[in-house]
Amino acid sequence: MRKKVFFRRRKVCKFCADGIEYIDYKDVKLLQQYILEHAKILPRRISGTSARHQRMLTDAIKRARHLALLPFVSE
Amino acid sequence: MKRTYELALVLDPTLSDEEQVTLVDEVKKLTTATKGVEVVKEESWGRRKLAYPIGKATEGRYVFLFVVAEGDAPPVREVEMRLNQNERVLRYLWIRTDEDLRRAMRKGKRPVAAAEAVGITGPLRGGRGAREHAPEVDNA
Repeated sequence: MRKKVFFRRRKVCKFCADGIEYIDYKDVKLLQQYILEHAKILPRRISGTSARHQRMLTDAIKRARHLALLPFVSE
Repeated sequence: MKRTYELALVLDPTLSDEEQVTLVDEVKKLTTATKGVEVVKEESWGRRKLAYPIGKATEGRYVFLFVVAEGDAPPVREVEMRLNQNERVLRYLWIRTDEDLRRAMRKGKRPVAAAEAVGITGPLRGGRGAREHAPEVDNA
């Protein structure tokens, strides 16, 4: 029997790689890349974002949502 | 050590440009009532579509105030009280930014637009494409 071999690309945190240490809630274009189509926050198991950066990201997304820059839900 | 803040305002889209200026000026006056507090920069995005309707509004006027406090804190409570009473203010957000910005300038490789606005500088290590990442402002 052949063993199934999965190749998983190693995920790297985009923010670590780019040296970004401040995620601005006003940067809608950036934040949009980290929400799913139903406007949920993209989990870091998928995006590979480091824990620190994921924390900064969620804070920024929540601030942006409060200001109606990002949706809480989208049907 | 100076502290920095940002005050984001989402205003009624039916305001005229003049009314917006009047309202923002009032907020600025109230904010700078404390000695040593200054609004160093103001950013206006004009009318922008809201991600979800707030009351009957589907658009809002976005204004951001960058505040620097050399000594005492700005009168956040008082400003909030006034903003709550004003039905032309759809949303607001006060955040304190100096700690995060200082850390970002110390450790990050990219210039942070929000830090430049309030005059927080640091030993940025420079990095590839450092310029192109500054947050973009749509319909500025």
